[in-house]
Amino acid sequence: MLNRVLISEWIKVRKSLIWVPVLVGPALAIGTGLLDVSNNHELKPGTNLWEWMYPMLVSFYSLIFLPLLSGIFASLLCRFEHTAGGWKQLHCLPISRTFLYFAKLLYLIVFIGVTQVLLLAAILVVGFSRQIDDPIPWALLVKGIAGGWIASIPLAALQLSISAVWKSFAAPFAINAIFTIPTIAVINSETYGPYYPWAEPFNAMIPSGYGTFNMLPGAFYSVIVGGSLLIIGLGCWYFARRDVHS
Amino acid sequence: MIGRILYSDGLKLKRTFLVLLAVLGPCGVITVNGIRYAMQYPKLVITGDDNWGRLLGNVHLLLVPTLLLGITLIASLLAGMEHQGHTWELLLALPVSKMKLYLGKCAWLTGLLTGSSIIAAAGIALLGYFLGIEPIPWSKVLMEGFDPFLAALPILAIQLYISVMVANQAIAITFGVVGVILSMSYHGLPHWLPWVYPMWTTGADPSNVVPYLGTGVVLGIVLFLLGAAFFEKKEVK
Repeated sequence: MLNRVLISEWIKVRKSLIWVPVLVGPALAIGTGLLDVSNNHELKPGTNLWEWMYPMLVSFYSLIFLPLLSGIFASLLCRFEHTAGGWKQLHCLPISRTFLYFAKLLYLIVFIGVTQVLLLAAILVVGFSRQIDDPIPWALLVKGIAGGWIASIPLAALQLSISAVWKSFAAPFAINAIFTIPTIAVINSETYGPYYPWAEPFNAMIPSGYGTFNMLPGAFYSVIVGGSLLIIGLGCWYFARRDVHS
Repeated sequence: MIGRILYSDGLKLKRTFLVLLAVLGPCGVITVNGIRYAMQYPKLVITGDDNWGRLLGNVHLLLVPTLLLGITLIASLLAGMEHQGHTWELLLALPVSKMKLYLGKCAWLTGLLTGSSIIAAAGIALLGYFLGIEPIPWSKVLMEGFDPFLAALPILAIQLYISVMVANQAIAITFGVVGVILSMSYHGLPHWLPWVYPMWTTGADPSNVVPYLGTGVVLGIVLFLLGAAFFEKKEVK
């Protein structure tokens, strides 16, 4: 049955506007990367230019854009049903609501994943256009990209839970924005920086020494894994049991 | 006439959380900075150093994205209300000048954000006072509270125009988010781009302010009027 729900979601998604933000993010990364030409920084001889360029390209992307993007995707995924009174029709059909929630969550995670892969392509494009001769640090890049993807899963689950319940497009986005903005200040703090959920994409994408996707192991297991399971469980439970009025 | 338009828009706004958002934005920025300063006091407040400059710089870094996201959200909600309730046809069928309708929405957007700026300026002053950083440079504080908003008037006009013209608010919000990212990378971007104006107009560095502020205000008013003129010509489906 999950298969059929996934196929029906695909029919809704394939002609919608969701593809626009998928392309916008990496394009933005390319744009800001190519513009940064004039700042000639003092570099120690022997630094890998890729490793120098990568944090500059992804810092604002992972700090602000990725959390907000997960919110935009979640709202767009739920928009089909909100606009045409579709929730009522959908819940009348003999489809398990849990499967419906998981199908939307799966699509949401896949969209974020596609955006991350396109970001990797964008980084490579910027590097080649700047004619960087150093060897490409694949381990660093892949760990950062995959880390950013996994770190945004709890945020995506939260956004999906809120968007499925509220009809307005802007209200879940407002909540997302309210929590995203303080990350600029939070990442400066050593005690709270690693644990703040909206700062996790930034922590994960900027290289540090840790093994678990650049995040502190404690933060990874408690916030990402534990948080994801908690939010998905609660969101799915509430979604399956709510009374639909609109 | 315009008074009644403003009043009717106000009635619609009463049921939304827009006013709360306009108040919460600057309060949140001040609170986050307050917490950060409280936790890292010795590192951030050094006697003899330019503490006000550092405080204003830190607040500015948070205030501009909040302002831009707030503009995006408020514009989207102002226009989205009409799109969602399908009330555009009703509104435009009334014997009211279309330009005045559009300018009424512009006025509410500007008014709400002016309130935000007042709260921001007051908050910065209070924050500095409670942190014990004397004396309060009032001109810089007022500059920090109001100038990013005034310099961002073109962005206000553009966001409102997109939200009104395109029914799907996702496009307007994505555009707004892209604008926030653009504003954060203001060093590499051309100086005439409207999105870099707010970041340059900070109270911490008053030398840069006047050209960006002036261009922002003038361009903003021009874009508001242009938007109203285009709105008048628009056909309603």
